[in-house]
Amino acid sequence: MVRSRHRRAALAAAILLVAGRAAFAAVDDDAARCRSAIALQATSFADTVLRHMITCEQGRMRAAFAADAACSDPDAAGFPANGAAVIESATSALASRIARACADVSPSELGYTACPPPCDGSASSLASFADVASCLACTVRGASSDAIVELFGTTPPVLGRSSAAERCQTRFVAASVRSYVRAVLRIRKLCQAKEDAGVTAGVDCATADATGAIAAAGARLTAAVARCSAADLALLTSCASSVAGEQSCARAAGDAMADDVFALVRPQAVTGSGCAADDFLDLSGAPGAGAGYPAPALAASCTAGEVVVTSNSIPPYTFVQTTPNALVANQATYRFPQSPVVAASTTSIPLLGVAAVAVNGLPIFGPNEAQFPDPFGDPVANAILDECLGHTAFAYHYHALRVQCLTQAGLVAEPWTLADPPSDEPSPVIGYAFDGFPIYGPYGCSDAACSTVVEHLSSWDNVGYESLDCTSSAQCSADFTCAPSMIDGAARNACVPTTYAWTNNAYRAKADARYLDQCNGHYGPGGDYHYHATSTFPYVLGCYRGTPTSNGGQP
Amino acid sequence: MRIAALVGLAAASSLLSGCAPTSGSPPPTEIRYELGWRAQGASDAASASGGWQVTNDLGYRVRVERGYVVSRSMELVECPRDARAPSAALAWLAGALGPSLAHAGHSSLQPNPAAITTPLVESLTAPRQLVAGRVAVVPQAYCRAHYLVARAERDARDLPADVDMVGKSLLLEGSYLAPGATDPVAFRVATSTANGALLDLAAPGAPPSPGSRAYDGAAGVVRVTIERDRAHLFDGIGFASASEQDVARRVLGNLIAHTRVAVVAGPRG
Repeated sequence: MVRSRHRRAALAAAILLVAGRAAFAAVDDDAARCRSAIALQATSFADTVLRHMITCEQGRMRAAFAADAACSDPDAAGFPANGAAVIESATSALASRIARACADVSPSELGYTACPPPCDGSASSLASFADVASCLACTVRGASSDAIVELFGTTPPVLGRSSAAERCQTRFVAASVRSYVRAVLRIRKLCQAKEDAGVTAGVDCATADATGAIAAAGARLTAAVARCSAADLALLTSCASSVAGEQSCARAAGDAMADDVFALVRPQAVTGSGCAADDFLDLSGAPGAGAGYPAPALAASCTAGEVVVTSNSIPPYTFVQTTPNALVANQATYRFPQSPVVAASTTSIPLLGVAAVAVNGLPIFGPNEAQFPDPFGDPVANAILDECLGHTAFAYHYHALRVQCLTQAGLVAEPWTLADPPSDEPSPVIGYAFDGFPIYGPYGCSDAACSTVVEHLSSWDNVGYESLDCTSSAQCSADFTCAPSMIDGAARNACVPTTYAWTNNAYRAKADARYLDQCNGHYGPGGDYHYHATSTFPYVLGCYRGTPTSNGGQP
Repeated sequence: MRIAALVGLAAASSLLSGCAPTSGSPPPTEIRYELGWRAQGASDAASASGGWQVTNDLGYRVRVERGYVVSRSMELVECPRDARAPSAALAWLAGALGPSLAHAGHSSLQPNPAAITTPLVESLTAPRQLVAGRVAVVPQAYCRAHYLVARAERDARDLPADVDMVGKSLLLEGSYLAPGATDPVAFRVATSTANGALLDLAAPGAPPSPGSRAYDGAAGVVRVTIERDRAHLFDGIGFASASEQDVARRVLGNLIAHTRVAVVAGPRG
């Protein structure tokens, strides 16, 4: 059985077409209409290409066309001219109909970033839906070619018009596979439309068959192939020599083509459902905050284009009372976009209150306190946080993030006692900003192959410092404290003001790729935008790069 | 929540507060914060250098030869609003007139007038009862006390001359003798880690004691004593296998776990 480069390329497409977290559940109406159009056009185009390839093969077997006709390649010289013209026309129609349906959507909203090889020559980056259509056409042609070669072999015999074997090959096998592919794609299109509309949630339409319709289509294919005989198959160069074998390989060829086409309709991550909710921790085994406190509770899901996180704001680790504010359960719900988009301009994070949520469901505030005790001071520099860099006000919250406290392995009583994560491994997702972009720990890959891992650094410099390289706050003036700070792009101890953190830090862009932008984020090697937690101000977010959903923070 | 209080008489009086004293208002109450130590189980070390020693629950005999701990802040914390008012109407009034709970670091209202926030460095080798500070407040209903150990700043009281405690919350030097060992091993721990306790002035679930809600015009001074326990500082520490940071964290945790608060009200004088 030939499993060609196109199958592998389509699988690669499923990986490479991911932009951050691809939308799996509901999207907005425009995006849903766009995807539905892509699904419809892809199904129609695949059917057209298959039909004419089968017609070509049938003509070759009936000696109506030259025996060396290249029936798996519509661009080849031997392919029947009228079939080639129809496919060319269908290619143009594919592009124009997708462009019309997707006029108000950007490819990145549906997870398109780059077209994988061998179709990267047709559209290496998917910046427009013309690019998407070109990539789709190329990949569907390739998937069809694979299926045809699988079913007919590279040189099917010339058997004449009345041959039972030819009838077996073209009608009972190939045409049935074509019908099967059409049915599967239509069923998956309907499934995806429900997901996009929010009628269902969390269904993976690449594999789901809730009504059994795909199984029924497979049964029809199997029944059709059963009309072939072993004697027929013995004369053919098809994928099997027995009826049972032919039923199996025909079904497999149909599944492979349907999978390849649908992977381009809905790009997906290789693992997981693609919903950001997958990044949130399972707290069921967490030790909790200590005796007398409620157990931590967290739920995260994707619905109607949003990620919804609910938490009772209880830490999963031992609580340390560094403020006079008691730790109490505070039921909170946070919402943010499932498919974040970089906005035309940045948005400030709230000066007070919640700006993001950690993967353990606890809120993340900005890099400043309120009026008291040190007016709008830096809480990390002022050392008023516990060892997970959080504390209580009306609820427990973070001002900076520590990776050990935010992983599944860190669900122990005292995660701050765990070893620092290795600096040669990219950090995991540890939170989500309310514009939907993920927050990683400080380490990230320097290139797509992750040949090196670097620590990402804040581009915010402390501009209010009075002296450098202090070893103790005793060396600092009143209202200054000795703390690690970014000074002209270098991390150094400095006597920095205890108040007005935003005033005493300034963003200064730096050319080195390790440095982050004003919002404390960047485009990673895969083209996805995300933030990093850093060891210096602003620690998590400097601003929102996308459009945030309001979750109650005060500007 | 830990119950750690011995309440003699209550610390507060009237349910309405937050306004500047006017004629007819109750006179301000003085809150006097004191720090003390319990030492049962710890014995003074018989040496020229002084210090003290204790055997912990793992059998380690620990000797402290020099040590400091920084009491960063202490404050009485108001009762929750529904516990302060005997009726819904008064609860509303209390909320309208009374100061809100001071959510440290995030309050957009006033700081807690009952708080002492100047760090104070205490010797662990010559522990003593001392007055940490005094504040005058319009009488409130207080249900809890918060005590925080955190790093000293340059304005801390009683900074020692023999070691730099600025930026540190705890420093300990001494030696330990492991169970069955014959030679003591020196140790030194220093940390800037913070830890604190929020201590109930009444049993959990019970209303504040009658004294804490009743106005007592004769109660001029409320003495709040934060009492720590030297004897349990090293519980659970297997020195031989513990890092410096582990020892420091555990010492601070033990300090906080065995902290109690005692509140006694007395007449002016």
